Amino acid sequence: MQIPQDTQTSLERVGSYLQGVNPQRIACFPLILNHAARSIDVPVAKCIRDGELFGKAHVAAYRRYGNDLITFLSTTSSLAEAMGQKLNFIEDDAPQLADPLIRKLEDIERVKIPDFSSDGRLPVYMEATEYAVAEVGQEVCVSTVFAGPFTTAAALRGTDVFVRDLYNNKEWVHQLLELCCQAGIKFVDEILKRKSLPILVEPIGSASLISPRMFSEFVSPYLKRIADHIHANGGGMPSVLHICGKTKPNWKPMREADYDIWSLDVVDMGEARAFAGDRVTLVGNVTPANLLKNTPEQIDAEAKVICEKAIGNPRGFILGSGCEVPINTPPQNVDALINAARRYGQLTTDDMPESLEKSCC
Amino acid sequence: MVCGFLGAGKTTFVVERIKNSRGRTAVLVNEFGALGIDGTLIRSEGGLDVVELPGGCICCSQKEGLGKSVRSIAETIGPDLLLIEPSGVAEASEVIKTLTDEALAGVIRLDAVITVIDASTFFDFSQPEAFGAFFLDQVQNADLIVVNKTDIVSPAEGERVARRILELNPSAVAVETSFCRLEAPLPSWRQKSVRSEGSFGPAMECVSITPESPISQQQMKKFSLALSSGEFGRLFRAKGLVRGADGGLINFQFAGGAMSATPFNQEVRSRIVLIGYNLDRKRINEFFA
Repeated sequence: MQIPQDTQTSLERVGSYLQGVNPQRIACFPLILNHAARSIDVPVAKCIRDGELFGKAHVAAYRRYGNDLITFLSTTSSLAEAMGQKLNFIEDDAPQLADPLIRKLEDIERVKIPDFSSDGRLPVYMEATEYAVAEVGQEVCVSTVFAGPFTTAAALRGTDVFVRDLYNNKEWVHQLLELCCQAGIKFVDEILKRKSLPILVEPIGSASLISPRMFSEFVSPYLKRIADHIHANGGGMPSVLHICGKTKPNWKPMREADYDIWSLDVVDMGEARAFAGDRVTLVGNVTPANLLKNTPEQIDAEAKVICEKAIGNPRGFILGSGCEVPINTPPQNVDALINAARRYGQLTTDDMPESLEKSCC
Repeated sequence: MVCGFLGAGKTTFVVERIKNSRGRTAVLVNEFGALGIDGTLIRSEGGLDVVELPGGCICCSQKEGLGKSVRSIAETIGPDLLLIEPSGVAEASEVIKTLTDEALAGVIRLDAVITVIDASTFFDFSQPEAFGAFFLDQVQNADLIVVNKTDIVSPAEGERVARRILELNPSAVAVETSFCRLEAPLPSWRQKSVRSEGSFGPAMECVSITPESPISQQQMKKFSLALSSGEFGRLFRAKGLVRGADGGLINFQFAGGAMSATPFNQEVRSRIVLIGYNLDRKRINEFFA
């Protein structure tokens, strides 16, 4: 099957979803994060610590692939880093958490709301965002991604200990989440100022780690505050939530958080559509490990099945990767994913998504 | 693979295993990023290769990281035994999938999934919705469950824990310990008639198999004979669920040289676990081939 030519820019395509107008074809969001460093051939650690390189890498990746969303994120611990958590940088891989900042409960005093002009690598994120918006913001949607309060808190405390705290130290956990939520809201403001789309990721909210009851108690309320803040201040931008791993058991409390777009990983898109399609636009979910190891033909086949299940979702569907495109993914596999959106994502009137304007201007 | 939630004692267990392991041993640790206290403890045992697993998120890319690490350990260290200690919040079933993926065929053989639990917290922590899926998943996928800290729970609590384990994973063998240490004398061939579930000996092996086909009554008899005659090695204990010729499941227990078999009515996968010394894996596998 021949690959149909695009007749819209990425920005026009994504804009169609917001307006409830049929795009020429579905959009495609491969979550290109550290893989972007490959586009300018610099090691990951160098790329993600230099605002200009970080920005150039993502712009180069967009120009190479034509992805419909630029996503600035190097690790889900970046906000925690700016709040005092140390990271270990690996030359050509994502950074890793060093010893947790909060060893004892009283160490919560060491956690600070970050200054975006100086703390951690937030200035790098801001510079990269400004660079990309200036460079390609007229043709593609630029987003800057940050971890939600729950994931940031887990990074500051150490995930194992934090999960046990949910059981043993509930009140203290809420104090920590409050700090992380305030930092998140500040992040949203800084990103909106720079005309980028804030995207929230909450991997520690996966159902593998926490139950629906815990999600309702510790995750949803804080996520909702951030979603409400985006709706109130975003000038029509949708609120976007990505949770990787298995999420199905937590969909009900996730829905309470009131996000417009869900980016999902290891789930059946048909089930997700049946559960939340009347409320959310779905993004996903080609298996990231398959992007690394499978052939372009296999990627195409996997994407086709996903498209068959999800196209026609009342609030729209965007093809994507379930989680981060692995750093060493062969470029032809990213091409295969985006080409699959061109092949299988030509929309008819019946497939037209309902407008997201409920939350947008 | 040694699983267990924070505080259960899995690092102590790993340290004990290292002390008593034969041949070259390596340890693969994943503690969500940095090598924390657990890794330091293990490293302090000395003369050991500890490899940290990169990646801190439970997302799919991590699976690739695990596969890569195992392959790299095989190539650079070439250990006889690799102890894999996933994060305390890892889903055992996901790690098992990666380790048994054909991409690692010939690189690693998963001998056993051992889950260490804290007897004093287990009952509460194992309630539905106490945590996410990881907690029960670690128990449900274990071949061997090491019930640690039994010295600090009452006999009644111990009973309650034992019943809960049975509900969650009827085919696993459960052994009780304190400090994950080997306080009782090693079970030996001569002592095989003595019930010695309270200890878990050094250098003891655990073999887990999943029979593909149903087993006839005659085969079951032959299996019992093979177990008691030492055909598979010096057996301490065996337990499992196998599918009989009529399609129903049979719960069998082998201890003290005797086998018991009863019908089992829940629908679970077939699995057999053997614990003992010098177990002849090849012969065991051939028996069920």
